[in-house]
Amino acid sequence: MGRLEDKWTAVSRSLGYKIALSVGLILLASYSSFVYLVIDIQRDFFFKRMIHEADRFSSAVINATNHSMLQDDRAATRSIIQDIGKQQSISNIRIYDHDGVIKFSNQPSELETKVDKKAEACFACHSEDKPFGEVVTDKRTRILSHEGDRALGMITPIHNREGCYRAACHFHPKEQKVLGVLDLGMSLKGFDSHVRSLIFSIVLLSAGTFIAVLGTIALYVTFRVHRPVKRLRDTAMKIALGDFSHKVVLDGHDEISECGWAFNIMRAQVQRRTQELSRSRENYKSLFEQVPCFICVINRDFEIVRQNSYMRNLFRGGIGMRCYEVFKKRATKCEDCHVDITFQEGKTSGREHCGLTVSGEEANYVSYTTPIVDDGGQVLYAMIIAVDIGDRVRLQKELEVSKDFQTNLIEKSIHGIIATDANGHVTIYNIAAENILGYRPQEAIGDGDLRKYFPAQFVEMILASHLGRELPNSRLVAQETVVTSRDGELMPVRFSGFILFEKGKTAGAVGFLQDLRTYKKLEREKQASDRLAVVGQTVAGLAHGIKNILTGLEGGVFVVETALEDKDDQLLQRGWQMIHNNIVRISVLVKDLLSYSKERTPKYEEIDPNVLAEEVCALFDVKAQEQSIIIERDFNLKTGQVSNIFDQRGIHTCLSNLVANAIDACQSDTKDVQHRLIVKTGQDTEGNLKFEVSDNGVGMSDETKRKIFSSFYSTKGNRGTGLGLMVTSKIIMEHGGQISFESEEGRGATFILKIPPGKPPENPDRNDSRISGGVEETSRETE
Amino acid sequence: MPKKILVIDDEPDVITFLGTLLRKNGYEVCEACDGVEGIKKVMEERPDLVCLDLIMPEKTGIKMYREMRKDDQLKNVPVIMVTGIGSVATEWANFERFIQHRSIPGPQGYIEKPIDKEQFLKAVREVIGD
Repeated sequence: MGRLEDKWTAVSRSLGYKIALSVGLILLASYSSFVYLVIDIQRDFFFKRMIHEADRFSSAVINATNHSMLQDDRAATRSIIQDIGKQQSISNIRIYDHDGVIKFSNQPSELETKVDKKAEACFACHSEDKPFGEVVTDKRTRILSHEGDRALGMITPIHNREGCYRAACHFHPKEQKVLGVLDLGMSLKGFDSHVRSLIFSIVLLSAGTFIAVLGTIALYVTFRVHRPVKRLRDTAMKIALGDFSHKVVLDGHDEISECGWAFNIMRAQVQRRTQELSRSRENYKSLFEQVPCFICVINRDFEIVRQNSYMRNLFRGGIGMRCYEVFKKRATKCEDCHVDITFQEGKTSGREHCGLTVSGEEANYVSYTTPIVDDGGQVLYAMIIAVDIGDRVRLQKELEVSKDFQTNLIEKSIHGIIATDANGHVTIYNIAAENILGYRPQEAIGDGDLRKYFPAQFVEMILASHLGRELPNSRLVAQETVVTSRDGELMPVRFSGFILFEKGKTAGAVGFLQDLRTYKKLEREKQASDRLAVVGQTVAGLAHGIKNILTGLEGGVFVVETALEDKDDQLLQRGWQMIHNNIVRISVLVKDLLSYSKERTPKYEEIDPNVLAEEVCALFDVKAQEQSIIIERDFNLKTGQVSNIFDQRGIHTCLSNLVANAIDACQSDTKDVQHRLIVKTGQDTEGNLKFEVSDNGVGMSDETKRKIFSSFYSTKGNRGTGLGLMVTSKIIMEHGGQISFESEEGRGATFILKIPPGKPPENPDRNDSRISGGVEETSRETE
Repeated sequence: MPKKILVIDDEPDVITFLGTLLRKNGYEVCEACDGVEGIKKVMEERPDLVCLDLIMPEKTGIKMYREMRKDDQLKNVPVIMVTGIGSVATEWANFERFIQHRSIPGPQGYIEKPIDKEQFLKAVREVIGD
């Protein structure tokens, strides 16, 4: 029942139903009126015809009885009346005389009865007691009831015609216009039956056409109005519920179809807008929730009505809590509340704050409040958007600390630090710089005369850089130089300077000055100390050598004396040999000492290295042959290939030492092999003149390799002074050259002398010359 | 049986000198020219005294002395160090610190070059007698 009621309710509310109902009611009213009029007209028409017929029939009866009347043949008249009254359609027929007495009737019982002139039938003519003259037909009729049916009663006056008042039998005077009346009753049974039939037909026809028309209209409305409208409505309801998947499908080209087409366009637009809105809403939600700052909405009671996850996580505030409780963990409103300003003035305001997170840590943030107003401009809410500046504040603090640290570093630096800005003015000038240069900071800061603070070379670099010139080098590194102090004193410094660039442009320059006054003093003291140490070591070494020689001499003398006492010739020879050897040792020692210690000026001259090498080889050929050692020459140097300007005597000494060492190494070797040494000349890849002396003698141990360039170190006992390689090294250093060796214990050694082309520097720094030898090499005997 | 003395020195002249001096005073002498040969000779000859040169190529007298003192068989063999101390003051100081640190007994005598014959013989006699 409920469903039926709902359905009926839905139907009764539908536009189609209302249209159909309205049309139906109008149609029904129209049809009803039409039917009523038609029936009324028809009935009136037929009734008038009945009256007319009754009138004619009454006239006919009067005419029919006229003759018998004139004859005063009452029987004939009576017979005529009765005959007529027997007709089925005649309900009654009677003739009244002038006094209202019934003279003739088809109802014999009525005869001679008198009717009241004021009776209904009579009243029309006898009103106000006046006899009627010519009365209209309508007023002479009346409706009677006859045997259950209706009957039409008509009174027809019987006028006093000439024949009547002239008749002999008669006594009617001429002045009497009406002699009596014929009262005819005609049954309306047939008439009523016909009228009923007619009404039925009309009503039936009308009802049929009404139903047909109404049905047609209802169908039309249903199919052309109700259903399209229902589709529109259903689709609209779905769209209202967010379902955009359905289109309105309508046939035809009427207004509803066009409405449906327009509706589909609207649906598509609404769908697109809705999707856009949905996306925007999602984006907004996402933005609101995930934006890397915290956002909340505050009402006028300072209660949080909305907040994003960032804020939720940071402050753990809840909806309904007051902003100052959440941000500042305080119970009352902040004194400098800028949300209040927004509420009061409706303006945006922003300020830096320091709140407390849920863990009690400081939370630094910049918050901006924006009013949210209603249509009337009343500020309802304030939206707070705050950016966490904790990192910035932390970095700021760190920067301050770092700046303090750097300032301290610069100020406390033991080296002078001077920096200039992009305009070439001094911006940094520390205490150490003041100590070196003597200018006070207030004089130096802002000063543009950089020659007072930097070496000239660096000042030129700075100027060139500011003028935009291409710099081959934008830095000077650890250059020892002098700067002039405020008092005109030349200050030794080690200077490093850098041109500073920012985005390709010169941003300034910085110079570091290491005060070398103390260092130079110490260096001088150390040099003096070193010289003393060298002297001491040399004297000690010399003493050792001399003591050995003295021991040898004393021992030789003792052995000679013993041999003489014992007359032992062999022992005598041995003792004499000892004395001889030690005298030779003294001679060699003195010679080497002179070579090493004498500040001899090398005499540079043009010499063929091959000739020099051959001289040395020839010098040792005899000695080598005595020891069964072969000296091989391998001179690869072509005449004029390299510059051959060097100190002939010095290089001859070097080569002689190396060849002598090589022979000794072979002599000391107990291997049963053919000992040989090879003397090579050549040129290395850098263009240096190269002498190479190789042997297949005993080689060197690691310990020997470490000590061979030490003074008074010898592996040859009383046959060496321990100065040979030192002398060789000194001469090569004087040439700016390099001495190196390779050796493997038991397999020999190779010594290489490299002399750079051209005349060596006049005062070669001993530190610049190099002595190298790999630790993997093993053995080498040295003098 | 004459006492046997091993003379170790890289200079043949010193060996000849000391050998002649010791033989003349009734000692039996054996010789070695460096520390490597010296150790070998000590093991072979079992001398009553070793005269050891402090500075020698290859194995120095200091190294050889350490080895002797670590060896159970040789640690009690008396040693007289022979050296020109002036040239090796640093090595000598290191040697003294070493024996003090390790609680190693020092050599039984020191003789400095140039060698005085009487002083040398006196030192030898103090250690092993005639």
